[in-house]
Amino acid sequence: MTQLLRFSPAQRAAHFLVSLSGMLLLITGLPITFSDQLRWVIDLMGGSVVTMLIHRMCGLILAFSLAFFGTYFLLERITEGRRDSNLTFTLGFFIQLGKDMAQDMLWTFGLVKERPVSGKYDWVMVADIMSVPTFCLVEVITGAIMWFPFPLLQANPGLFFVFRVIHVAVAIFAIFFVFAHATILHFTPGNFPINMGIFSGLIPKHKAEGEFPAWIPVAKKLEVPEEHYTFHPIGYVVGAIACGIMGLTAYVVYLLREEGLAGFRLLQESGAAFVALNGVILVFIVYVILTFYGISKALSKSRA
Amino acid sequence: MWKVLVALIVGLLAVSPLLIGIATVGPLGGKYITENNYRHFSPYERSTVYALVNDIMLYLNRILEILITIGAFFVFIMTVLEYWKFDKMYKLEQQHHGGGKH
Ligand code: HEM
Repeated sequence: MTQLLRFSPAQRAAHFLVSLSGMLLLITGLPITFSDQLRWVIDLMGGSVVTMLIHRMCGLILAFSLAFFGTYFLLERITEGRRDSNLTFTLGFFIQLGKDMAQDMLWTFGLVKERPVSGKYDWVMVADIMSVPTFCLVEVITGAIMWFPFPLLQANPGLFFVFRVIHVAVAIFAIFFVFAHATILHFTPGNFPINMGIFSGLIPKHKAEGEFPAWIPVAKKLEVPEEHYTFHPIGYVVGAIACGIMGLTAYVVYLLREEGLAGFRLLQESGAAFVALNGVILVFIVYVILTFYGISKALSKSRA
Repeated sequence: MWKVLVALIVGLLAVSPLLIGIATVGPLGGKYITENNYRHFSPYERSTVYALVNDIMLYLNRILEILITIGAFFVFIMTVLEYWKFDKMYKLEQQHHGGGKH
């Protein structure tokens, strides 16, 4: 069976470090914001001293990864060009992505016959590639200021709350981001239960034919033993649960808005909010476990 | 290899303020509470400083309120649509490849 080399070891390492530290940051950060609903997370981990330390250590890992891989990918791009990637930073490229998004949605509804012909990264992936570092950067800057507020906030210590509210707003948006990303890339038919591409770096050619047809001629090809894939319908249930939690969490955002944000703490008691926020944390814990599963499976295969 | 080295230096430089902070402030630096606190403001200064933060916060709240609500519902709806899209793509691929076998 032909597989295509999709992600370099550096890309896989970056994904591993950023996703793992990002999820641990959410698991240890959200219970501060939603302490009425998520107090048990802090208690279970051994108290706020422990979760605050984990949050800061993961923050350090995230900050380092951002600077390290950002520099590395930039140097790679300058010295080796864009190789098999279609990513360019021109206005035309981004306009094309907008058109691709519209065409993709029309295709989903059966209103046009053809999907957009995508290169290595389609419009969703480019949106991911651009937004993850941006959001992480905002979190690193606001997080670092909250960690060491002085001497920067000397003239006005109250500004702490300005950075805090930005930190929390991006964190809440990150919940939706992680859910969308994981649900689409791991729980969809063709991928469920786990899409090994980001761990092994390889994806089957027949899959790429449907998703990134314009990439195939320039992609590096490898022959590997045939692996049979069948989609288990339980994937639909898992997908529906993930989407359901997302929908309920969107309702939490609606409730927060109704309360005028109030520093992003939810003041009213709401069963739906309780289910949503606890669902979010439980799903993140499952993702952390799956991340270790994926990386160990990929490593044991590459040794074999 | 030189790229890894340059990246490593940039990475360490980027986190160095945090590392210095860890070493000098907080338990490791022997300071649990920094000497900078609200006490060095006169009551009058304090009220102007707080009034400014209050204005910024009210403004920021209004922007974030709109952004986060639109963002949350947009990403939720797009996820459902994308799931549907992948389902459709998978079914087409099955028709073409007869169960993923070659
Ligand atoms: C994806 C990245 C991150 C997410 C999702 C995240 C999430 C959160 C959340 C939800 C809170 C609770 C805020 C509140 O309600 O008061 C928080 C607090 C905090 N975060 Fe982050 N954070 C991230 C990255 C960082 C980074 C990189 C740093 C440091 C460099 C950092 C440092 C802090 C600090 C100092 C606090 C104050 C609470 C405490 O003392 O533990 N965060 N974070």
